[in-house]
Amino acid sequence: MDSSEPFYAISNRYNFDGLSNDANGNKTLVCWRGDCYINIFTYRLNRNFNDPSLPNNDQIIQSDTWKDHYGADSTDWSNISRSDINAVQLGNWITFKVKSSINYALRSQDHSYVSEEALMGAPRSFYPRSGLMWRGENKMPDSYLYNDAYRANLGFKCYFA
Amino acid sequence: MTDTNNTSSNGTVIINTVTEDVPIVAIKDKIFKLEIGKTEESYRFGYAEIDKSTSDNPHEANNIVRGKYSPYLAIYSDNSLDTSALYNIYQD
Repeated sequence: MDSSEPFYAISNRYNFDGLSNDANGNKTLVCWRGDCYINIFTYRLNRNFNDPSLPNNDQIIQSDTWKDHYGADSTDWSNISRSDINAVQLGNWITFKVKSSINYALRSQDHSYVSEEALMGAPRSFYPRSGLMWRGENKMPDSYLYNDAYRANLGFKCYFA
Repeated sequence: MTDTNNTSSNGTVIINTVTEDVPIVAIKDKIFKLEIGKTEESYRFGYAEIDKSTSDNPHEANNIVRGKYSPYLAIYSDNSLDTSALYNIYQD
């Protein structure tokens, strides 16, 4: 090629004979435009509830409250200490590779939930910015401000080759 | 949002988003939730597999799940999908 322009494949490689025909009998392959980022992404799967009385508590007072009062046919459930159940530190994270039009490496802490931040003492955050946080004050959703201010949406236009 | 890529051997796959503000999402006979149990009631929970509490020893129920889960994609397919595979999702 004489062109000095950078070029790269915008689709997988296919056998030409294997392409489907359009209404006019022409071979058709849909290729989408836009950026594609390969991200290594960590996502928090779960967390415990925020207790209505003690939203950010993770101190367990009666560690046997569930064991002592739980039962399938039990009427003793009212004796289970709710605040202790909601105080159990829970957190699972999964890391995987994803190809996306969003660059997940450009991610921000979310300060837009003012009352929540005042209560919990920290903004919504994410791994690895704030580590793996399973303590009581981190019982809140991750920040979903991905690629803030950098994301370019090119619409749904596609090219046909 | 539905993936109807005919080149897939798995046929039509239905995809829906399960977000924090939606209590439950159903696709055909499958139910997807973000919140297992309730904040205000300590005895409500779910099971990852089976309810072992119905066995002789109710304290064997070690597969209990409870709490809030982060948003995810609910995926339904009549055929089984390969795990740990890479899928392309196009929006019509």
